[in-house]
Amino acid sequence: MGAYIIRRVFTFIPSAIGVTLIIFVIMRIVPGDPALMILSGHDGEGTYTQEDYLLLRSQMGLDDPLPTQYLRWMGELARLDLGVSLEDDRPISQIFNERFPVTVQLAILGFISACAMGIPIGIISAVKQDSIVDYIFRSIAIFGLAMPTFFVGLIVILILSVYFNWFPPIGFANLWEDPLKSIQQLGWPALALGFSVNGTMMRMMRAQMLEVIQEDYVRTARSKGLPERVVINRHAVKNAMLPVITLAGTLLGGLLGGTVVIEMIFNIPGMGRALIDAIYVRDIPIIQTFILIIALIYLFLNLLIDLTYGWLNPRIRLN
Amino acid sequence: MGFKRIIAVLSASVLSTALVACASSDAAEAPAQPAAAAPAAAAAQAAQAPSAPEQPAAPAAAAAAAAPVAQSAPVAPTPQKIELRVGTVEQSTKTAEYGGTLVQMDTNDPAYKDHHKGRTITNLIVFSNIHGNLLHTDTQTRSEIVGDIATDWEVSSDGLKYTFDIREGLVTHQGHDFGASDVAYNVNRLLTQPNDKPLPRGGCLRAAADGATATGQSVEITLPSPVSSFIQCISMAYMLFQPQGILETVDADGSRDMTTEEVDGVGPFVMDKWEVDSMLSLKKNANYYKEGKPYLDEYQLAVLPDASTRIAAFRTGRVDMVPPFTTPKKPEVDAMKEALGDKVTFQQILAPGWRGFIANQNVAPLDDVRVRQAINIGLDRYEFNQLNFDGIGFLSAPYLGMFDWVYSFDEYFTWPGYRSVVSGQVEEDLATAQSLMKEAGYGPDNPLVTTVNCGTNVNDECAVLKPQLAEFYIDVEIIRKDRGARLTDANNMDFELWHESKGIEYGDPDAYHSLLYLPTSGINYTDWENADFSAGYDAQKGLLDLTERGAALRDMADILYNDPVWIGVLRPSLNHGWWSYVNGYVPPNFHQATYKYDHVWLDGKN
Repeated sequence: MGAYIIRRVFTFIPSAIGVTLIIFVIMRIVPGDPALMILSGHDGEGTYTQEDYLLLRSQMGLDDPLPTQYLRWMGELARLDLGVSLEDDRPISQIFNERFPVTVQLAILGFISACAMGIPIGIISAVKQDSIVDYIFRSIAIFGLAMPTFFVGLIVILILSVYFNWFPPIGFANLWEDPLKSIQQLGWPALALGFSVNGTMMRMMRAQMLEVIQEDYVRTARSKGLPERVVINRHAVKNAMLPVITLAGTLLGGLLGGTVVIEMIFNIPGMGRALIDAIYVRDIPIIQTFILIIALIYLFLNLLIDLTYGWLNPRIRLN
Repeated sequence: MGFKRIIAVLSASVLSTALVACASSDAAEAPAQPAAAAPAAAAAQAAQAPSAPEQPAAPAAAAAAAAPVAQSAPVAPTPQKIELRVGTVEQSTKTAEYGGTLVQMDTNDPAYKDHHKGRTITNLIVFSNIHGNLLHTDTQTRSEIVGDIATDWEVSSDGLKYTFDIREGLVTHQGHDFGASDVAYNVNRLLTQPNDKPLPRGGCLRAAADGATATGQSVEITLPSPVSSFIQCISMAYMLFQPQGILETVDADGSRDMTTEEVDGVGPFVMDKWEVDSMLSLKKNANYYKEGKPYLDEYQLAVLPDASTRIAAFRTGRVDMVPPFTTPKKPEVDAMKEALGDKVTFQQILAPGWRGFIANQNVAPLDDVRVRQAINIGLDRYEFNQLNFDGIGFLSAPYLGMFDWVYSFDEYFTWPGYRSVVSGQVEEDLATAQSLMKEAGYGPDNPLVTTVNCGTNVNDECAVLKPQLAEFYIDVEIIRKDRGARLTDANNMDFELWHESKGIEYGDPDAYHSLLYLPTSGINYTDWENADFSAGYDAQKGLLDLTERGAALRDMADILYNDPVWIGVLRPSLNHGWWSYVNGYVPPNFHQATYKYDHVWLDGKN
């Protein structure tokens, strides 16, 4: 197992370096001069002279050759220095420390709401296969899959404001600081996120359940005279859950990087918001660092899943 | 844990999330209906301009001077004339009440805590309430320039020395004395830009002044040559003064940005809390130098980047005020008015500056002045106004009509091309444009083929442009790019026609010069330069007499009209709204103006 872990961790390192290279190159291919974006201001009303522009470019190191810029970034990362935002001069580590916990809270709440919706309706749908209930739940799942998250978010905001004359409180509170205010702010976006994700989970759960309830051991349980509730809960669901849990891990990773639009709509100051703002003004250090972090989270989750599989299934680690 | 329990826990968590979110004790209610404020007063003319000199005899002199432009008698404007809607609201006659929190919203965070580094109007709005101006446009009359932290000022007879007397006994929020040396330090900082860190809003100062020295309670700013717009420059809303001590500290540290705790000033509100990209809160400054003010206990800024969310926040009363630059579109305003009636007030604000199409005079076919003149004269600006600004836009002339002492709107409205803004397409103008194009060698069978570089914003003027140009033999391809790509193209001069919109920082034509027309401007994308214009600029900038200066500027406007590179169309009018329980607030007469809320109070907001 030890050799397998070492082997797997070593494949992680080139993947991470590859990611840095891809991000760096993409950021230089994307048209848009960060110096011009910053000088013209967020609302485009900034004024500047050509002299200001040339000075800023040189201060930002944009005149250096690309390999120099890349090596400088790598050097900073090696020293755990994430750099400084071009837009407001703040250290990116500080911005990350502010934003990441917010996104994690939203992603976890979104994940919980997706599980709470997707797993039960997946089970019920399978048990009541081809019934009206099944059709309704499948329709809901397809609706969730088809509706973009931003659209669901906008509908939620519209209903809350127009029909209930309600709007989430201004300012953000962490769950551990002011749980009530935090739930008021995060509850609805979490539901909107969950609604969009639960379709995938529901379909996976339903498919697994349909497969499992055809298995011999389920038939045996039934033939023993066990009540259907016990057969389903104790024998079918537990076995059907394994692939769903794997999927859930991937979905959680996706949610961590996929809260961007919801954060904009519901005024949640998370990583997604920071990333969108940074893209808008071409704040390259923030964009490349945040994308790198999201990519590393995915890589890490994959590594974790692989190691878990290796631990569970000796054939994988031996091969 | 059994499966049933897992399901129960998960379901309960979702239900409780939904219930708690709905069961807010403080949020469900909309603001109580306050006594309705009187409706907006009748529109008044922008009062910013000093008394107008004698009007020029020939309004379309510029067109007449242009050799290639055919002469034609101006067509009489129809009654559809667009009025200036800039004005004031009738104020409550009640005695101002103390207390309460005013919540305003904006699309983005102020970003920098060192206001000198700020570039955005959000930054201006927030820091206007933390720092003092030396002078500013009065927040009640919105016309005259009055002292803020300066009590008096005088100009030497040669116009080279400005002396400002600073208020005695000013103390910052953190208890430090604030006086003339602080003011001088600010001026010199804006002039020198320590550590080569750009201080963007000090441009007019750098173009005009040499330096500042403090003597006792006075500050003396010296100029190498007289600059008639200097008072307008030094009193512009962005010109806010921060304590010397903290500026020295950050400048010694590479001119880094300040921390929230370091933000200090002498203004009506004290920085309390800044949650980046979410909200910030300012608390009342109990030691504010204006006795009895501010009335509010707190000012909050909510950062709401999404337009639908902003409308929802305002509609539910979670937010009290929509600042002008976050302007909702007119249909949205109409919908809110319909839903909320006289509980909300909306007023339009002039957004002076320039908006239209830049023609790259360095490349064929736009290097032919006749082609550029044809575009300038042939455009139907009325159609732009109706389609893009719901009929509330303002003509974007070389100098916007807020400077009546150069050219008034009425005068501009008689010029070929510009007169269409009043009455729609003027057939004579279209014929002139066609004739100019024919002279340049184009016609219905061999149209000029060119491109226009456009953004992806909602107000799609390029879509309006294309069929209009086709009417006078120009086949334009619309190239859409995002802002970053467009700015790069502009900087590389890689375009033929270019859509752009820019606002001026302060109320003087010199703000136009530095923003657009001078070779030093970053937005003079095509490096346009004209010897007569430059000579005119040098001549007018020191003229203290408005009549003389107005005449010089008229000549310069004529040059810009006859050698059109900045083909102005319309500037938007900005919708600025607030709940009617917000009292004492007089909207500014242009969008980059002073936003100090020391005199604002709330009547009946829950």
